[in-house]
Amino acid sequence: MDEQFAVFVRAAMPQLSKFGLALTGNPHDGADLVQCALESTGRIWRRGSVATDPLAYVKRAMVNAHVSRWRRIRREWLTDRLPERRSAAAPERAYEHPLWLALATLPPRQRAVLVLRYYADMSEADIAAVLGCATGTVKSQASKGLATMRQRAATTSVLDDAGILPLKEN
Amino acid sequence: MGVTEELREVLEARTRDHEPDWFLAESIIERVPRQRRRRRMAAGASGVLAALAAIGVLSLRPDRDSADLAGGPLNQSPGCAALEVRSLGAGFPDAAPTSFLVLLANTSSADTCELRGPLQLRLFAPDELDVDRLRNPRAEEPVDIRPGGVLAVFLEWDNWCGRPVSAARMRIGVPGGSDLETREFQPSPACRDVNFRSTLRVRDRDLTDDGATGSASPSATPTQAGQEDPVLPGGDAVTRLGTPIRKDGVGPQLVRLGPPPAGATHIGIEFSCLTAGSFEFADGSSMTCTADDVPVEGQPAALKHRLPLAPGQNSTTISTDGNARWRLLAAYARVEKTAWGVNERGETYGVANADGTPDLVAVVATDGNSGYAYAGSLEEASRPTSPAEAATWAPAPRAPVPVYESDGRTVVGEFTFGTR
Repeated sequence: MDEQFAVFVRAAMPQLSKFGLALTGNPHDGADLVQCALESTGRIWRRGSVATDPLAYVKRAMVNAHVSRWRRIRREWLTDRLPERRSAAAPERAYEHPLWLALATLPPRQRAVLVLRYYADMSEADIAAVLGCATGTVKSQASKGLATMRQRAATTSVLDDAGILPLKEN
Repeated sequence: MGVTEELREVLEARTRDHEPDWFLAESIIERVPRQRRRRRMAAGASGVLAALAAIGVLSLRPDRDSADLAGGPLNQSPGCAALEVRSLGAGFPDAAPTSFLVLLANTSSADTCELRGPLQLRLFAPDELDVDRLRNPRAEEPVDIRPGGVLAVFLEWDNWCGRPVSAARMRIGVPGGSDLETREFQPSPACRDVNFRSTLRVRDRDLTDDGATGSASPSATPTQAGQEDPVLPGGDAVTRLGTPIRKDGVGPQLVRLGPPPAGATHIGIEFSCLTAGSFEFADGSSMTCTADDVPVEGQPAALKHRLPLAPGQNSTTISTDGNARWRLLAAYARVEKTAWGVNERGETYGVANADGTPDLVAVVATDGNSGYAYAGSLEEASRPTSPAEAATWAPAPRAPVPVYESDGRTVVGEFTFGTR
C-alpha cells in the first residue's frame, strides 16, 4: 500500500503542484495545499472514494482546503501602507500579468471556480460537486469572478503603465 | 480575445514551467506511512488504556510498563536527520538578520551521513512569507558527518520588508533524511532595501565529531546489567543492558549512549525536569513541568519511559525550550513480551496488554492482597448503572468482587467499587 501511495505521489506531483499554483497564486501556498491534501489522502488511502480516483480526491481536498484556509486566516486585509512604487531597478516579476494579478484579488471560492473551469477544464456540474454547491452557484460565482477580473485587470494595467503596482510583499 | 480565453492562456503560461517540489514529495512519501502507523498504534494503545481505566479503580498491580504508548522510532530514515532548531535572535555582532542554529545529527552507528544536496529551508507563517529558497553556495558543499557526529548550521534570515511577522516558523529538510519545523517565535529581521528580496542563507557550519555536543557521562552510581522488577504474566520483561549514563542538560540536546549492545530493543529513560518547561522525547511523547513539578534533590525521577530503538541508533534526543534544564538517566534495554499464564482450568491470567485482557486480571484487592479478578466481573462491576453515574463517575458501592489466586478458585481478598 505504501508503495502504491509513493508511486502516486511521484506521478501526480507535477500536476498537483501546477494546480496548487493556479489555485493559490503563489508556489508556496500551492505547495502547502499539495502537502495537506496528500497527507490527508495518504492516511485514508484504502478507502473507496480515494482508491477509485485518488487524483480527483486530492484535487477536491486542495480546493476545499484552499477555501477553508482563507476563511480561517483572512476575511479581510487591513493595511496602513499605501501601494508601493515600483523601483526602476527592480527585476521583472513573473506574476505581473494583469489577469494573474486580478485573479489573485478574487475571493478563493470565485478563484477556485475559475481555475477549475478554465485551467482544469471541468464542467460546471463537476465543479458544483467538488465545491458542494448548486450548478447555479457555480455559474454565478464564475460570472462575478470574471466581471471583477475584467474591471480589476483594466485598473491594474493602468497602474502598471504608471509604474504603480498593487501592494505586494517584496 | 475574450477574458476567458486570455485567462486560460495566462493560467497555462504561469504554471507551464513550474517545477514540482520533489523534496516535498519524498517527505510526504516518508511521513504519511509513519503517521498512519502511529495512528494505528495510538488507537491500539488507547484501547489498552481504556481497558485499564475501566478497572483502574481496583489499583492494578504496579506493572509500570504495560501502558507505554510506544510511538515510531525517531528517524525512519537512516543517516542524516534534522535534530533541532534553535532561534538565536539577532545575536551576531556584525549582523542585523535574525539567526537560527540548526543541528543535524548522524544517528547511525556505522554509516557516514553524506550531505550531497542543499538543505531545504523555508520560512512560513499564517500569512505566507515570500522568502527565497536557500541559494547560498556553501550549502552545496558536500559534507560527511561520521556516526554520532553533529553538524551545526548557522542560518540568517535577512531583509524582511513585509508585514511584521508574529509567528514565523522554519521548515528544514535534510537530503535523504527527515524534516522538521521550528516551534519558536521569531522576530522579523530589519528591512534593508525594499528593492531586494528577503533571503535565507547559511552563514557558517561547524562539524563536531568528538562527542562534545550533548555528551553524557556514566552514571555516578553505575548499575550492572540485569533483570529489573519481577514481571507479571503478559507484561514486558525489561532487561537493562550496559551501564546507565546520566546527563544534566539545558535546552534541546542530542544524548549519546555509545554503541548499542547486542539484543537492545529500547532505550530506558528516567527523566526529571529541573525547571518548568515542556520536554519532548524521541518517540514524540512529551511532558510539561510547572515549578511545582520540579523534584527536590533525592526525590525519584518524575518519568520512567521506554523509547524504541531504531536500527543503528545510538543516541536519543530531548527537545525543549532553550533555557529549560533537565536530568536524564538512560540505558539500553531489551524488552520482551511475556506470555499470559494458564491455570489448570485453562484460564489465562496476567496483565492486560496489546493482545487484550486475560480471563483473570492482576489486581490489588481492597485489603492490599495481590491476586487476580475475573475480567468479566470487573467489567460488570465498573459499568455505570445510570447516566448520572456515568456523567459524574461516582459509582455507588457495588457488591464485592472476589480476588483469587491464579487458579481462579482460592479467594485471597475482595474489593468494592465505589469505595476507592
